[in-house]
Amino acid sequence: MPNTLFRTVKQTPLPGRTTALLFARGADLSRHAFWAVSLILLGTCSCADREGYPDDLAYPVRADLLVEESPKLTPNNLPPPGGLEKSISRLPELGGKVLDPARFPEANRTELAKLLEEQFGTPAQPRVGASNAELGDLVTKLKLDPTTLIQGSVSYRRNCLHCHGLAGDGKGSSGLWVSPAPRDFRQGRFKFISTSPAKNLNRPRREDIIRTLRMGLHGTSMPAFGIYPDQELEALASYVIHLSIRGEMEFTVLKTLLKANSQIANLFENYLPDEEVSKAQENLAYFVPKYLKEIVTQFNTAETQILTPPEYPYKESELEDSIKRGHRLFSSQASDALGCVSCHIDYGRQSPWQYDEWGSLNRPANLTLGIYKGGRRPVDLFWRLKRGIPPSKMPAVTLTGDEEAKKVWDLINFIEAMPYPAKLPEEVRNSVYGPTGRIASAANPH
Amino acid sequence: MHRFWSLLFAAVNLACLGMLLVAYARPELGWWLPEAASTQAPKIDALFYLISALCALFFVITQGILVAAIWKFPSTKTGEAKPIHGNTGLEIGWTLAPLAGLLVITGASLPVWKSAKYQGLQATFPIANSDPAPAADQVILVTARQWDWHLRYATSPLQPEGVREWAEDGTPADLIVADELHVWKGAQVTLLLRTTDVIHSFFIPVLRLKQDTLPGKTIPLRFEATVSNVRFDPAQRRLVTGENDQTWEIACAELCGGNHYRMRGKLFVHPDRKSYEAWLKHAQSQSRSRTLSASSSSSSILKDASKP
Amino acid sequence: MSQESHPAPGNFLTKYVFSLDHKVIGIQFLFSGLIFWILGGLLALGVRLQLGWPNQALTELLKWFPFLEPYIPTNWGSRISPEFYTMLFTMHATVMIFFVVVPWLGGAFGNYLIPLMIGAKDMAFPKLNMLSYWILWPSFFFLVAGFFVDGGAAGSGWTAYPTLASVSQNPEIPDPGLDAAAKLSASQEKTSHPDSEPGLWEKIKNRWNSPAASQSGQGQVYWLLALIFSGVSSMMGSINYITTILNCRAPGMTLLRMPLTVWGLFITAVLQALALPVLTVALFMQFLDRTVGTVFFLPPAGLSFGNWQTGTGGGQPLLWQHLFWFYSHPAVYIMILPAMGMVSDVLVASCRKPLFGYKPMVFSMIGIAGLGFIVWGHHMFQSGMDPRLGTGFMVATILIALPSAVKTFNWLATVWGSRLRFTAASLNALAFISMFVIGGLSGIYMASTPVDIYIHDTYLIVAHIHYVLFLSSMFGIYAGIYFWFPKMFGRTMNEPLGKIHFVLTFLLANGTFFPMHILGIRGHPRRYYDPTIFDWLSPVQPLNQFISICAILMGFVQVIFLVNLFYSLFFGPKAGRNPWESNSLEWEAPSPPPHGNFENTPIVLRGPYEYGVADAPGGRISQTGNVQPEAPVLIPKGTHA
Repeated sequence: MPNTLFRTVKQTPLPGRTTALLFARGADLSRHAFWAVSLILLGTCSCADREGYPDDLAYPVRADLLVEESPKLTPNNLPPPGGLEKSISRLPELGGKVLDPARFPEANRTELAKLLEEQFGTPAQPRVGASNAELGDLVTKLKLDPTTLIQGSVSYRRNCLHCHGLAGDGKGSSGLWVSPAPRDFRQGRFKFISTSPAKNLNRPRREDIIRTLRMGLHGTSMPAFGIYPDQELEALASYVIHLSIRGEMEFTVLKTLLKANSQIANLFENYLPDEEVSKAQENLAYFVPKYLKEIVTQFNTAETQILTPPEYPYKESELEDSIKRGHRLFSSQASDALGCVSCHIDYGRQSPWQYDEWGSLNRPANLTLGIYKGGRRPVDLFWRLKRGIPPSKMPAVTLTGDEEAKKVWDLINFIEAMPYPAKLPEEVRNSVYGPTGRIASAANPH
Repeated sequence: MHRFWSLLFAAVNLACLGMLLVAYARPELGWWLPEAASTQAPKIDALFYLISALCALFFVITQGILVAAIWKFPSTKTGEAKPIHGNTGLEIGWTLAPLAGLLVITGASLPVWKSAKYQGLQATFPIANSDPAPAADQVILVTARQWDWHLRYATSPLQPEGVREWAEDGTPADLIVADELHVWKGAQVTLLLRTTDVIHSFFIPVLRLKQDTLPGKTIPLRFEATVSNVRFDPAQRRLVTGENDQTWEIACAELCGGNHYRMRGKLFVHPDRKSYEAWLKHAQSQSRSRTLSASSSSSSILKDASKP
Repeated sequence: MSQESHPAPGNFLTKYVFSLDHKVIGIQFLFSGLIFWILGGLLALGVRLQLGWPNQALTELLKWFPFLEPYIPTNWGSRISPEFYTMLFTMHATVMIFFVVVPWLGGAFGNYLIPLMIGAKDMAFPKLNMLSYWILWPSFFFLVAGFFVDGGAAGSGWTAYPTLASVSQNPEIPDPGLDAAAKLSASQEKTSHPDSEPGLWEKIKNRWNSPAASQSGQGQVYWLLALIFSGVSSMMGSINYITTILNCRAPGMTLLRMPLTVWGLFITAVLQALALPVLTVALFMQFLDRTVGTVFFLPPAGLSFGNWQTGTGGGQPLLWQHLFWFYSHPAVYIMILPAMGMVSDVLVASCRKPLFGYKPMVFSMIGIAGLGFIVWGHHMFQSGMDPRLGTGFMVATILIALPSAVKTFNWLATVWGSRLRFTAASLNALAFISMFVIGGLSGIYMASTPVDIYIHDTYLIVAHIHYVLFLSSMFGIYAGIYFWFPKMFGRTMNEPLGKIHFVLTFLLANGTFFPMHILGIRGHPRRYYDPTIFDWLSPVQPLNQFISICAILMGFVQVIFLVNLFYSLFFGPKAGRNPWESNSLEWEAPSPPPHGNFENTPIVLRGPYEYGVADAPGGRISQTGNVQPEAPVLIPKGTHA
């Protein structure tokens, strides 16, 4: 940078020391006052304006409630802005189940904190795995090496922290005041993924996270970071995966051990069924690295388990018929149709609120608006249909028979055309918008 | 002692003036107006310099008199001050002289303001008895929200009377991208500004362009870029640096909540319509992708290898 | 008039707390303002700390001031959060404008000086006067309480633009989830959380929360209440001032014999009386929008904030801007005209020479006030208001520069050929003139609509307002305090300390605010939490650091002023009646003046600026002085003794 004029101000410690000596002989009061000044000035000027976290900062151990089971209810409105935590604490009244980490024994908490720090480092020095050798390729293939993670941590602090929070809890300073709530990464769950459901892996591919970063989540407060360099987005994705693995480890341990009559043995039973463990090894120190390897392996597997869209079967002239078929699939309750309208009531305009896995409320998208949170490319819509949105209540669409490819594209064609009444075939338009045509909506930004 | 006070006032004022002069004389510091890249930018800059010249004159005269008076008339000077209560001639003089300067500024401002803001208005809500605005080459709907910009590009030419309907309804062929404004050099661009939530302000420093978005309203703006900074290379399917390799940014200039500061966007000015349309085609094919494809960034620019 | 109606106070409470005496009330305003001045200054330092080093962890600061932890949480990397930052600048501006400059100029100096300078025994309505001070206390409460509510104090700028500031949840839709909860708990036995059913207060608070931003929720409601009360206080004050000045002048004190301080305060009072109701109405409208769900500022189609949707509206966000600036532009003059008057008086007493062009000075003040009512639109050139309106507002705005230029030239002509006494007061007054020129000139850039397209909402605006409000009004206030302190407390302030304070503040204030012009020319938008994310702004970051260092140092320099003030209050050398050998009436009274101010009702024979009279003792003739005994005593009609 060409600014040499004031660089000196920043680099040389202010003429503090000699003056300080003079003052040291003076009254206590003046000395204190002086140190207050010089500490603030020196503290702020002479050290570099560091972009990352302070070195002595540690990830906090989870203290907020864990949602074990969300209520089945569909309440008629959202909690007030800022009221998410309170609303989670009220879930039991609505038939949900929550676990309070405050009941976690102090000794176990200390041990867990130590183990987590051992495996995952600190915000300034993040890592995955106590040593790289242990996880080897698994970590490098996922780009979870310390260099990338440190870059990601710096960028995360600047761009993500105020919503997603230090530990990825979605409770940063802005986090509680936006809805949908910013993703809480600490359960290892992501909404918009493109991995095949075959192996029941609810893991995102790195590409899914990068897509979300690049395009943002339209209709939520997640902005697009598309103008950021690819390299920075890669680093951010790595750091998000790091936070999510760390959080999931914590979540798993807390959730299992907080249940009544549960023991560490349950952890091994539930999460490492294939592992041979002796009674003596049934402790957290043994479990954590083993389970870490399990999670990282799953992430690696997910990278290869891509859900590939079938080839688009139609010509331009066939579009109208395809839309008609898609409309029927969407709105009919017949056995060979999908009946999407049973959740997307009135094509999403009157969708009910539903609890997701995190205990926050969302509702099936209003598809007449042309706002698609998980991306507006046809391939994104394909993934939403075929993969569902596992942590919320959107199921994966199962289509049988040879016609599957065609049916999927029929549905996508209809969904894509829905926001444009002029483009819909007449009977479809009448069905979606009624005979009067489209009603202008406030919430429609486009 | 009175000399000290006089010098203090002189020093402070000279330091202020000096700082401005340094910023002006050394553009490499990056302390002055950013590049001027639209037709209205040089006009606004010229006005800025006109006002600066008149202000500098007034500044030097008034501060000079003050400093000299402090130097010359301390209480230690012998004798009483002359009990002068006023002078009508002087009063009239120093009323008329600044008035002349102010009228010059007003006169110079009016046409620039008219060309900067009336044109956009004209394109959508024609003003009676005035020349029609030239047809737009590009129409882009900018929707602000907390906290980014969504830009919807019309991909086929629009008739002026069809603009409002297009803004309301859109077409499936429209291209929607976040935070990236692509135009080409010389294009008459109509922006339609909207917001879904609070007031934002669409600010592009290099174009000297700023307009608040107002909830419930669609506000038209018109501009023409005169310098390009990228071109689209169809072979590499990427943007490469154009006439210069500046990064031009879009900012939000009206407080819109905690993350107001991070509504950053980028402006890409293509050298010609061909380059823009190649980009548009590429971006459309990306956004219409039905096959397995990585989301790609259209904005990370490769340095043009052919340039030094 | 009622100025004679209230008896001398009997006990401590009526003498110093619930006093009807304009002097005590003035001093109460002075000290309340002082507390908020410190608060506002600290808030500004918070802003500067963030802007100078936007990525710096403030661990050292936290060690020193651990109570800041909630705002600079260690688990966010010990940094100021963007939300807290918006609170910092919002509350800094609010505090400084509505709780420091306005109460100091109007409340403290207005109360203290008006009766003394026009030769009255007290204000026309002493009880209203007392009320105007005590109604500020609810305002203080709401202002400070805002920092402690959910979401924090108001953070939508001191301008509180809708819809950021004004939207609330649609109250027609019943409280979230609770309906379902109620249905369920009616059928089931309650098992846990026996006390979790929210009380009425919590329901109300929930309704206040804003979907637009955390800090536009309850904090904004408190902010609105604070401003409504402070507006009522100012309104009472201005009615009182107008009445007092029109009705209670001493015999012979014609309007054109009043010192410029009184003129400044009089015009200010008129401005306030005419403009404040508009602000109060606007504040009430926003208050209703925030609390009971009216839709004055919500556009017909409603808004969407992610999942939160407002209902349909029917209002117009731009309406707020018109109403707000219809007051807040005149408010700029409310905050400078009294200072202009005070500076004129301080200057003349220090120059030992009559004020040059008394009548042009008065008429230019009236001109500023008159034009001040038709220029509010210049804050809205880029707001989406019809650009043709902008043209009209530009012409009016450019014209308002004219009376300011006339005033400047008259001050310069006053100083020219004078015999300047360099006191802390006169130096501050001279700095006012010098700095007002810079502040005034930068205003012309904004008045020119095309240039304003570029510089609107940039740091050039911030520089401009601080040159006018800090380097002008505040220096005027410093001058006023140094000058009238002997009258208020019977003791003089320490001159050397005053001069040290002046030099350092003068240098550091310029170091703080001048580079902001350069930031503005670069296009640096205001209210940015972290400008370094923009490539085009990174070259000016060193300037931001320089500004911050100057600002922090300037903050510490103010300690000198406070020490001087409080030390002199108790230990300063005793001042006589007229330490500055000044002409106006307040110096005829003892220092400090007793209840009722004057031993005998003064009879005014001349204007306040008779200096440089060679054959008079001390080279001056005071307003009551009559060197030509045969000259007739002029007592105009309608002046009640």
